[in-house]
Amino acid sequence: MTDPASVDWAAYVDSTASAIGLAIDPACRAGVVANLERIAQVAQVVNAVELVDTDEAAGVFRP
Amino acid sequence: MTRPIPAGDTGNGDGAFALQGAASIAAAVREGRVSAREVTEAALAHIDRRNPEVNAFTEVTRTRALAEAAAVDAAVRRGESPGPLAGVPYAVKNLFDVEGMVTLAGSKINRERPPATADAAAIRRLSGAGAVLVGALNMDEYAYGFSTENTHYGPTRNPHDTTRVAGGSSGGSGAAVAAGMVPLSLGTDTNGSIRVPASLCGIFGLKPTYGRLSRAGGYLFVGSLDHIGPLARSASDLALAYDAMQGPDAGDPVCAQRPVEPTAAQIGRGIEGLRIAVADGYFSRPMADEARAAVQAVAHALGATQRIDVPEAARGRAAAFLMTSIEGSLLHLPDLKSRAADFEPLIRDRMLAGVLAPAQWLWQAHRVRRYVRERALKVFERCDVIIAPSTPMSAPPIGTEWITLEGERMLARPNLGLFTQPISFLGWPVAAVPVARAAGELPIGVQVIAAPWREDLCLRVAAHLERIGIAAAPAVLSA
Repeated sequence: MTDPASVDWAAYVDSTASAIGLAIDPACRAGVVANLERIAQVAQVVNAVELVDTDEAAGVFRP
Repeated sequence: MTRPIPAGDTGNGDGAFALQGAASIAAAVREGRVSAREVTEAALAHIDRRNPEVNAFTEVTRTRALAEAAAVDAAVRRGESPGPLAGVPYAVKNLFDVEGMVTLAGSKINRERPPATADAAAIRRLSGAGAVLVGALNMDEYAYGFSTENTHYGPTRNPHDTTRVAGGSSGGSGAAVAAGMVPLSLGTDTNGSIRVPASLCGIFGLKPTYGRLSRAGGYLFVGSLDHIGPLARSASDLALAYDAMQGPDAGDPVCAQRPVEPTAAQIGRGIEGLRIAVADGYFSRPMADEARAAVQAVAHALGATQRIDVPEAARGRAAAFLMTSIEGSLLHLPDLKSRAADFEPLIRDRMLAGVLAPAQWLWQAHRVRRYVRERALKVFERCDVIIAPSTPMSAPPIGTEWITLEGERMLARPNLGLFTQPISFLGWPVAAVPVARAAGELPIGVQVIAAPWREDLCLRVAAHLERIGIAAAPAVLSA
């Protein structure tokens, strides 16, 4: 995963929000970017786990 | 200053029976020493007196409570068994459906929804056991928080010191029990939302194994991680309520197809033969003196000298954080698009960020859960029960943004769940146990953790700690 510090999260927020049709109040934008950066840092920890193809998620759907 | 009521003292008419435990109330009602109506009226009167200061209740179900009490009294008069929780007043976090009431889930938005048409499964089971529902309790909006500083309904205040938080997200559930307004409440726990308020309010709580108790009729936060469970002032009351709620339920896709495994008759068996260890590694990271002292006191009392590392706890917590941030937000995407301003200001930006996260982060977190599970379960080859801190500190003042623990500065609100989050991620059962404190000291608790489906061991150790005087949860009449 790319180092979160090198990503332009403000641009990511703008383009992704636009793609899913989410209008973000300009007053919230800086807070949203800061929160996404925090999530990205945590994602880096989780992405560091080296999984193999057989590491399946545990689903609970029971037909 | 706190004024705890000694065990067995009904407190001179001030709340009277409601201040006793669930088991003793139920026994008195069954034997006709008191009517369910008297108990209910005492509880309602105590709520009227105490709630304005504590702000635990968002609704009091007076009419329903008196009707349920009347039904219990009628059963007693007919000589029928009124149930193991006969006449026990209880209240539920306001994300549980209560027939005829709007399920708030701590939000302003859901207040516009129609009233629930049926009770949540857990309420049906408690009512079936004779318990009497007296109201619904405050929480963090959509259960997203550890402090119950709810902007729409006001913060719930800690009965031990009303300038401090009660913990969350089941803060009303913790405070109502700690203040003696009810002997029993229901909460939910996704990342620590039963165990955090139990610790900060100085009461017992049970987060059962993931999938043990039906969540049907409860408003979801993060379905992949959500649990429900009881809070009370003794381990035996937890066991009574927990036993009454067990059993499969087709209404909850996560609820396990397991038979009822009663615990109430087992919990007096003591700790003989149990291998008890203290969690090390991740669980020894910075915490306040009172948290470390609580773990040491409990470990010493149990003769637990083995220290054990729970593998992958840190990465487990990180994965739980991702699942919470993303799943917990995506549930609300339609409202985030149409009315973001109506969300709790403390979580709005986090929610808006969560819905924008790449799918890969969430999928990786789900796969990592299995990976962590397989490695972490190995600890139970070496021990049966693990002791860990519940919260890194006792209750902070309302409005606290930052805390510094052993020189490490961190955000206060998310880090109240520092030690609870890895365990709910694994789905293991935990009894949250309040450590006995000197008068005037703020409460704090520990987690008593066991392998999946071994709630009986958590409750046995909790009951033992209570019996030897290390754990205690006196009700607090006024701060």
